[in-house]
Amino acid sequence: MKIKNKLTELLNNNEFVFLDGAMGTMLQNSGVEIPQIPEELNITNPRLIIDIQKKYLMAGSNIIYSNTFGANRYKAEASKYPLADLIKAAIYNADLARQEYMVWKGTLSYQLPLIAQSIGPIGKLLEPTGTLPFEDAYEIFKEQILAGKDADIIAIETMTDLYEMKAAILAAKENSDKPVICTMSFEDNMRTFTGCCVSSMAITLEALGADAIGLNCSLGPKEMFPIIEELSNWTNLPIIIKPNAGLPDPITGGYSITPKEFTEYMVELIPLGVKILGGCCGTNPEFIKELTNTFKSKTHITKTVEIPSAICTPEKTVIIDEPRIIGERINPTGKKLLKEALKNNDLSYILSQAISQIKDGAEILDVNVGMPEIDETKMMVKCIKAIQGITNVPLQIDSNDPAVLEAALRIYNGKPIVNSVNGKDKSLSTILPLVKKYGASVVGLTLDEDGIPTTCEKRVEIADYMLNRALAIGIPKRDLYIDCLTLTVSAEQKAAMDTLKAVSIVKNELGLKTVLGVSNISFGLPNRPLINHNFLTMALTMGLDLPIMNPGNADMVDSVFCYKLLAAMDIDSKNYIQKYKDVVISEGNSRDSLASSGSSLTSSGNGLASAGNTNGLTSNGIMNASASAGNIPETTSTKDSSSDINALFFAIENGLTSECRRLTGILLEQKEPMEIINDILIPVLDKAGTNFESGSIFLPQLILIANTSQTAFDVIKLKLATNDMVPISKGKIILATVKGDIHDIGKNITKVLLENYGYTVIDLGKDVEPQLILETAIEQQVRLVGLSALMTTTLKSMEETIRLIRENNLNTEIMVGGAVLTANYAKKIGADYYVKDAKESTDIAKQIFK
Amino acid sequence: MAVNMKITKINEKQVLRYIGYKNTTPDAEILKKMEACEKRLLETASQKYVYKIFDLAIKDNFEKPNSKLKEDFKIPTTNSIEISGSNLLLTGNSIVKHLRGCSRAILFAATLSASVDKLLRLLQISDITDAFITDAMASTLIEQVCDEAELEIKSQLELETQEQYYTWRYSPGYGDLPLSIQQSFLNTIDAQRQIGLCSTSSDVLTPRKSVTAIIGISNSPLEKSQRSYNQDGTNCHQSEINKCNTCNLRNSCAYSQIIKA
Repeated sequence: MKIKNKLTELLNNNEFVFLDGAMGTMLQNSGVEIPQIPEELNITNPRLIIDIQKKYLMAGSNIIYSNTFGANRYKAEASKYPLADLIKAAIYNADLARQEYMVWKGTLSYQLPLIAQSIGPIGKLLEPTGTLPFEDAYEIFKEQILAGKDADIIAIETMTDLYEMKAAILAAKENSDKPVICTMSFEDNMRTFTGCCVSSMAITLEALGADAIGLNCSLGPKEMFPIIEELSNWTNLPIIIKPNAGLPDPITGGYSITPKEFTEYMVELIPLGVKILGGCCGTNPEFIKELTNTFKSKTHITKTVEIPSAICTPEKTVIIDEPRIIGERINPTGKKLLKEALKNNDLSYILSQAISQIKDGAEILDVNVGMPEIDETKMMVKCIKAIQGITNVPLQIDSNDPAVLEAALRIYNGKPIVNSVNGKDKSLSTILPLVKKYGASVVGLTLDEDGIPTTCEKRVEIADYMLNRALAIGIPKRDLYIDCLTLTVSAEQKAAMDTLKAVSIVKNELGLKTVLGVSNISFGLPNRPLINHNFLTMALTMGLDLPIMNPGNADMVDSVFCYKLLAAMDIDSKNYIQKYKDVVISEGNSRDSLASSGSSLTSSGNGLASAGNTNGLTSNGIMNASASAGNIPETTSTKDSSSDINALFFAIENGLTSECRRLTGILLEQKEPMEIINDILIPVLDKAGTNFESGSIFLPQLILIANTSQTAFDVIKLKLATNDMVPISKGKIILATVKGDIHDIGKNITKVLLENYGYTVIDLGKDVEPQLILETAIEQQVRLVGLSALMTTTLKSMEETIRLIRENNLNTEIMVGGAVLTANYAKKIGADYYVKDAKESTDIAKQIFK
Repeated sequence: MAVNMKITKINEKQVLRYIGYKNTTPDAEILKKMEACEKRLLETASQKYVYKIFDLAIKDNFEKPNSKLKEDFKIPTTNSIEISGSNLLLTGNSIVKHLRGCSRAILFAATLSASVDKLLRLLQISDITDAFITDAMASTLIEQVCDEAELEIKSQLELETQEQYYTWRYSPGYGDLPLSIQQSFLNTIDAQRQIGLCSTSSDVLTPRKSVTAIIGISNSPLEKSQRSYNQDGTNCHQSEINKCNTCNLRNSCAYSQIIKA
């Protein structure tokens, strides 16, 4: 605590705090040969390091960074010195520099400079782009922090991945009580290399408890101006700026600006509220001297901003300044296919649910995977990682189990919502500390030990109590969202208006954001959608910010769009017009031809990817009047089934997904699921396969046909699940990209093809341990294993996997594929089959599962 | 230093080759998909590269050039090259052969960034056909970025000295230049800090659609197997053939250029 006070003392007065300048640049210019691991100099040439740090102190630095930027398990792997020794020596050197400086200064009463342990990026990318798991990143940082216990401050710097920064902050907070100051490196497009934006950085780091935040490296002070300006709108923490000496020269690598110019640009940043200043690459003690001299006559300006209620992922901040839809579909309650998917570890189904909700208009997704047969913690962590791997929409973590919440909060990238806490003391004292520690927002349910109150007043009272409890442990008001609880109107008719009244008071008098699960209102009554969307509109008018709902329900999404238009939130009606410009109103005044959602699940408008507009459907699923879906043979349910069969054949062959879905639905009324698969789906695929082999169609067409056929399969699966029938499976097949290899598109194409033939594919993903493949094969009694490798260097893992399976004498055959393989090599490493493409794998499967 | 780039058109011919259309034009459906995929990929990709120029520490390791001998007989007497002022050592006969006669080299890395990895993950869930096409397009695009970057770097260098000769881009993993130098290569040009590029513990570059390469610089003309242009300086197909010639999979690869040569 002593040190925290020392830093706090520096931060609380009206003066600026000065960091040091570059270490690397100084080393390079020292003329000494720099070892591959520069931290070894801490032991081999301490004098060099001490002198550099002393120079910075003499130039006016209040805080010096230890020479430990790359001192982590990976980067210092090849060192002959133990990691802890490199770090300890660095801090010891900094301390010596400090002592020598104090002697030079000659006055003992002078404030002692502080030593910050510098912690840079690990040097390996975290999952999902890299292969380093978040949990491993945490352990790596923990090791550094424990070794650096003699430092005064922890300075995490030059980060470009918010996730890696989070791992480091957690490691710092859980393994020390030192202040943590955090800087990230941005490009001039206002994002880091991994796409993190300034607002997401600010709200996430502040929520995680950083003591000061800012920028270092990659740009000069001039280029940093707009980024610092943005940052200052999102935080009241002290802002750090540690820029390079301008931009480097492409050929010489030298930096472009002088200490004087550097300082002039830094002066311009004063009005933005910068507090802690230093230099990064290309700077030296001259820069720091010029900086401290010039700033002597300047005063720090404290800028206070009001920070809005907001949650985020690295790429996207969602401000709760107007109604935002929370998609409720990832919740197994009452959803058979989702339950099935959770039981089978089938993440792709869950991911497709995420994508379709975003496409339909969800801006936040609720994730609940609680069901009896599964390990909820494991599944929650897996789902959140997978969803965050493909989307940039913030999540609402939904569980009754605090352990599940904590596990999820740890690995969430950004700032999520926790669903939920309530007015019971036990809930408040368990959940709020988690929310505080991991920096989340939280939904507060207005119920307590006495249950759900019948009156509006009591609900408001509970909301108020929860607010005070949240404030007491340091959760800001903006991060509590109150759920006034929707009761079923058929059971408690008067309660609906009570709920709405409470929403209004909580919103307007307590000044809190509100959230409400909407659909529950209509339970037990006919024509539920009618009630739901009217209740939603009423709630929005009363001040509802976050409706939790099914965005697949177009009427309800329409209500939200329409409300935003009428409430003048949708400026110039832009979003409304964009969404509805193609709607055709027929004479009967009802909207025509609302096709079910389009074939492409590509999300739109979230900066990730625009909607792939296949087969004439607009991205919101409304049939576009001008675009025809090709020559679809006319079919209605009154015609005989043979024309439907032909039409389905045609639809699959031509990639018409919604038509395919519709026709399968019709055919299911007349035929057994297995009949449809054997008589239509498989013959289409067989024909496509033959055409592919003969060269009359090409791989993209084959994949497209398989992809379309999959939508027919989905309809069949849904029917089976709804009727509690046994799912179709012609046999189980494991697919995996072997250990060390991360090329998986070929494997994924193979998966789609095999699934369309009715096989159950257990997809173990990429970079898969041989042991896991073996265990799964044993546990699930799998007769066919498909392995993929794309690099000559990873063929070894393939061989190892095959050896392991053989050693255990399983009744399992192995097929292998991938660009580097040949039939001969496959034989050599003991595989049963070599498949040159995805199509061949279906031939092998047919042979095995006769 | 790091440079941003904006290529706005992806080489369609190359993409078609990668997705299996040899000399056939795809049908309208696939063409339409390709158009959408290209647009989305170009919006998503953040194209950048970084390079540094180093002296090569090759002492007297080569046999004296003897014009009477065929190039294959000029066998180097060493199997490694030091990159001066760094800790990187390029090992293997193939790289030594590739850089013979060169006094300097450009060490270079390019990437389309992590956003493309995310797009590909998304598409593999939402539309596997688009994923397949986009993957091929990204592979094509990163090569285009490299081609363009190479031109930019050379024109920068030519401001400095005239009359230089360059080898084609040679990457870790080609011939017998081990992939295991990848990390050290990246460190040498500070690739993580400059463009966000790392490698996994099995030496795969991440983000996925990235390239590292070495281009030798010589003051005198280079052999046909080393260069990517004709004697008169015009570009030719030679570097593709050269690349295929060094590839360990040249006999089984569906994309080999050797047959065409």
